[in-house]
Amino acid sequence: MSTVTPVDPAPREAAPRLTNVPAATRPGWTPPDDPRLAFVLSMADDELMIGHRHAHWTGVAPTLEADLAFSSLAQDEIGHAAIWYGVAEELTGQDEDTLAFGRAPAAYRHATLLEAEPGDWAFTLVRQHAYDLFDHLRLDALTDSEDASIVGVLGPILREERLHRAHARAWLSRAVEGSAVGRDRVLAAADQVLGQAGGLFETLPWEEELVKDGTLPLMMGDLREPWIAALREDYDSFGIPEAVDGLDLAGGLGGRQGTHTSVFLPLWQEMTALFRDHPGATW
Amino acid sequence: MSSDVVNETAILEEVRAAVAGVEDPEMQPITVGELGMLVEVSVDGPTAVVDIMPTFTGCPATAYIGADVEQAAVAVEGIDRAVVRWRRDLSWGPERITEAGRIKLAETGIAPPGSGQTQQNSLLGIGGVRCPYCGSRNTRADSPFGSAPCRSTHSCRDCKTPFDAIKPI
Repeated sequence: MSTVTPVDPAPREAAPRLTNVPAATRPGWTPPDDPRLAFVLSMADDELMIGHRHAHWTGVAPTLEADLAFSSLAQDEIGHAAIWYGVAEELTGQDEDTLAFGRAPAAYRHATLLEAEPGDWAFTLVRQHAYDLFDHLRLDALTDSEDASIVGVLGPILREERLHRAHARAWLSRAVEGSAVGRDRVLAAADQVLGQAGGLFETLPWEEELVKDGTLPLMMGDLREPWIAALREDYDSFGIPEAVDGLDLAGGLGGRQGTHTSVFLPLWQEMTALFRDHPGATW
Repeated sequence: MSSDVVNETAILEEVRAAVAGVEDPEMQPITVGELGMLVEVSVDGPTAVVDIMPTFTGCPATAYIGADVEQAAVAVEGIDRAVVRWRRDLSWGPERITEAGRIKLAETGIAPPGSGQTQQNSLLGIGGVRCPYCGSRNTRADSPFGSAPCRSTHSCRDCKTPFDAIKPI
């Protein structure tokens, strides 16, 4: 059985240094011994990070409806994270909380785009749209997985994700239809988000193995083309085809292999503070 | 049929009724049975096993509901242990809500499924969901998200009342 080494619940003295250097080039990096675990954790961590960032808007969103929406989106995404941590629990024997909050920063496998700070409202919407499009494609592809644990939990997740994509589309089209300020902000946000979207599709060194054993019906990199097509279609329908110009799939790499940006350490410290200070706490 | 079997069947029915009657803390007096959250109940000697599904995966009330279900099961005479299993592999949908549940929802001011909500109209802000207060369909969809993960928000142009509806999924 493979395991994820939990970090000592006591506060760490020296925080590990995080860089933007893709992990594959980092000396001393070794792939995890269980590719399936690495993959399931990448989905769980993606959802946990975006859920945490969405929760930022609770109490401070521009409208009451938006406040409720992002609170709900956060609950949904964290709920999905719990499901994927549950699948990882079958592989490690470690419970959801330990997997979510008890790992060292370099053990997290989410795309770095998802750890980025909420930014302005436009950044939040553009990121939600880009990520939910990707997540939907990923979940859809997984319906052909030969892994019963993965396929078994897709139903409720897919059902909820439909609303997420619809929400992002409705808000973005509304934002660009208004004043030039809104449109400019969305374009600036698209430049920023699409410049780091490559990390979503980062091809992991162990993915081939997962494709071979049927866990993955395709390489995550194979989702790039359909994702770009879906993105173009939506941006065209909003009347901002130029928003795709900033797309750079060579940006934002490293997260899936545990290399994160400088904003991740404070995020990790905040998210795991209670777990580290009060091991085993429930309330 | 031995009296033991008869007794066990009676206990099972009692446990089923007890856990089905647990109220959703976010939508009292609507019960988990009426919401269609119960999957299976079984009894093995003094142990009751209850399989239940959340309405939405991120529902924050699950811990409370789970504890209430456990309490309701062990309150049945002959049961001294209850195991509550959250089935995250099953997807709940508003179509699982019973007729009695639909009536209670409307009485609580929440438009039950079947009141005209669709993903499309709720996202485009088009109305048509029947107001649970006055029955008018002259309503506006304000947001596909509401005060709980399973609800969306609307308002009625006729009786000027804002209301929740069970979210279309």
